Amino acid sequence: MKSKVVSWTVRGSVIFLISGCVMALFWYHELLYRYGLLSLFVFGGLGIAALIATVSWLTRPYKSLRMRGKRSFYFPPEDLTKVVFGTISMISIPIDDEKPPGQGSLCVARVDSGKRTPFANFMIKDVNRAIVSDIEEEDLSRMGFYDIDELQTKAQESGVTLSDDLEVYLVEFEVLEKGRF
Amino acid sequence: MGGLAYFLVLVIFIGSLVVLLLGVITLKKRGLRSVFAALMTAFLIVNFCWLFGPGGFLGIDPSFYSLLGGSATVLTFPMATFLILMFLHPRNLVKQISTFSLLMIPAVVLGSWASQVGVGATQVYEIQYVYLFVILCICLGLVESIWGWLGSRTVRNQCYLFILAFLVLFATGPLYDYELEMLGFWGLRGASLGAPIVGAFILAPLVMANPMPFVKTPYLTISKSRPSYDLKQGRCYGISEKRPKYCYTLFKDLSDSGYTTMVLTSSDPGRLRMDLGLTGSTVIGMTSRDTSKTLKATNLGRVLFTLTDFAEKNRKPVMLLDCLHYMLSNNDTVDVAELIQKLIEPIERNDGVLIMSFSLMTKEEKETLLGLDVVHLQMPPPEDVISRILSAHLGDLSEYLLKLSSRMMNKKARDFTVEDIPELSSILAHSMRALGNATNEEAILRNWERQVIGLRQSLASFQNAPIAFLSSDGWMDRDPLDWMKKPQRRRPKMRMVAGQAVIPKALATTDRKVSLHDEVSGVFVDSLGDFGGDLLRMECANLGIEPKTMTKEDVEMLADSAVTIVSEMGGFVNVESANGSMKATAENLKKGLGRIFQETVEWYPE
Repeated sequence: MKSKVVSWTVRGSVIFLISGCVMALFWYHELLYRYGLLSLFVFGGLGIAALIATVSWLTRPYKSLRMRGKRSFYFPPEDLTKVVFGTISMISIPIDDEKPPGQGSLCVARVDSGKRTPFANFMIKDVNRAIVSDIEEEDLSRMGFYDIDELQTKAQESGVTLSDDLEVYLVEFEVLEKGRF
Repeated sequence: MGGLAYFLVLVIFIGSLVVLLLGVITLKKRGLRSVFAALMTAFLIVNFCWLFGPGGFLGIDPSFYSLLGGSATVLTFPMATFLILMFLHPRNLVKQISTFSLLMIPAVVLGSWASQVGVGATQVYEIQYVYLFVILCICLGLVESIWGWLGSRTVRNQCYLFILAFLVLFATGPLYDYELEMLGFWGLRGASLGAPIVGAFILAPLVMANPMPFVKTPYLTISKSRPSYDLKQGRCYGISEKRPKYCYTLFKDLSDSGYTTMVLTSSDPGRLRMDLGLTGSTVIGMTSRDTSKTLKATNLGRVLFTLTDFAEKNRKPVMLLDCLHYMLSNNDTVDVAELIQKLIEPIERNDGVLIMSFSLMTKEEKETLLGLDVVHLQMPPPEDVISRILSAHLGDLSEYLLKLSSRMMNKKARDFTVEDIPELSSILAHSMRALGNATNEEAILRNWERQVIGLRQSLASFQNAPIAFLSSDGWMDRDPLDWMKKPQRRRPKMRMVAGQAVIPKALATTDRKVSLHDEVSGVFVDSLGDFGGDLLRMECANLGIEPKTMTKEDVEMLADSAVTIVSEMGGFVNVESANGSMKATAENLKKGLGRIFQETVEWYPE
């Protein structure tokens, strides 16, 4: 929420600044008359078009103003929409794997196939640890599973063995910006 | 000067007074409270002078107001900066003294000079030196806040508010004068407008940094804790266990003994308090956000402040950290280790005890933390020890009785702790007696009764076992049947491997012959534990078989009879799939006995 408010404030300020500058040009409108109607129509039109294009590019809503995340997390293609729309908001990583970044870190979500294209940027909301058999139903549903068996089967299919006694990181995240599909 | 402006200044005056009172009541740290009170008093004086002083609404013109207002206005900005520096460097005495010299001494000098010259609150900013000094103070506060924000994650949230406060102070201070003059609100000039706003901004992080009201007992009455636990005062213990259980047991023991205790937990504080029955303890939750009741995992500064404050203010404090894995997940290991190192010092100084749960940690993290002065206790999972004892006494039946008990206690078997043993023992005894009664056999009933006594003794011995014994893995080498102090029957040493009788080395070297009864008894005990031995003796008596002169035909009869009993026993247990599993156990028993009477080995009578 805080980041969204900051983002809207900054974007709004940029738009206001540019609009203010454009409006301020009216003060000098007499200077513009000497260029003639055709020049104003062609060059002025092109200039304004370029300005609008630049502003809309700068303030595009699916790009964050904040820095890019360095760490990438990979999701299977079938989970892509679930991650983007928030159906999946948690992942589990075996504790012996690389430690995930802490709360507040920015990360990139990539498709786990082919070019590994990034499809979203997300922020880590919370990182906790648990034994696989102790994972609560609420967390399982956040991961997109009905029960532990399903989690273990899916993990097995992707080449990771999640035994009952294995300790895992539970990484909760929130998608900040979505890529274009 | 309009009535609206007068009303606004009055509201601001009351607002400043409220913020001052709130600060004095809420802030616990004496130094911070004094500086905050002084700052807000200066604000109030400025307001008062604007209300009643020369050029104010009421038109009273005593020179006293003028002088007081001038000096108070000069003092306001350095005091606000000093307050922030005290917060950012709470333990750095050199920095505090140097800041005091840099800010407060010139402020006092300038303030007294302004008083002597007779410059009041209305004109004080017009003096060049005062103006420059105020700007210097604001810049210094801003730089320090931004530096703290960038440099340390621990004070970042607080620095946001400080920076905001300074911006408000800056906007409502010297620069804002001219805008107000243009608007005609002369009375709102100077620091007066920002007083309650700035005060509230500065107050909020200070309150957040020290929100926990610690209830101190007037007299510390400590009774003796359990001698078997034997935790030394002034020491820190790291307890390695699969799930955090013993750490709670030890903590609760010390809490019940009267020590002043505090838990920092990543689970729900309310539920933990209820589950453990911690009435007099302070329970603080650790979550992903800072609130007045919880600490944020990444805000290590506030965590350290809260913990050290508790450790320093109480005599013989006992602290439990069960959220180390959570802190380690969200911070660097080195940062957490530093925090623990800083916490150990006041704990040792005040003869306290720090208990840390090392569950859910990687090897590297454990090694890093054990590099500090921490006593490491590797505790066994209570459910494993309980299961081992039950298995030795009841064989395969143990699994079903454990499930039954778990259902009756409304608790998963993996969550059993040492404190559950009395209840578990009682439920097991009732179930076993009920099973004995259901068979309508007096001999079986007697057998069960003996098992009940043995089992209860074993469980009680485990419950009272010394920590040193459990943490040294001694429990693993100990025969589970030896947990009870009753005369032991020697368990037969024979084992069947792939249908062949294997003579243990000890027996082979003494050239001792193996009897058929030994072999049969071994199969019974392997399948049904201690209960199996009793069942064999009982069935021999029922069928009129003399153990010493047992033949293969007798074994066949025994097999049929025992298998029937064991199969029927599953029906008495009110656990899902118990019936089928007991039948499977009976089949195994039958197979084991079948191998004996089908073999051509020559058995020797005892």
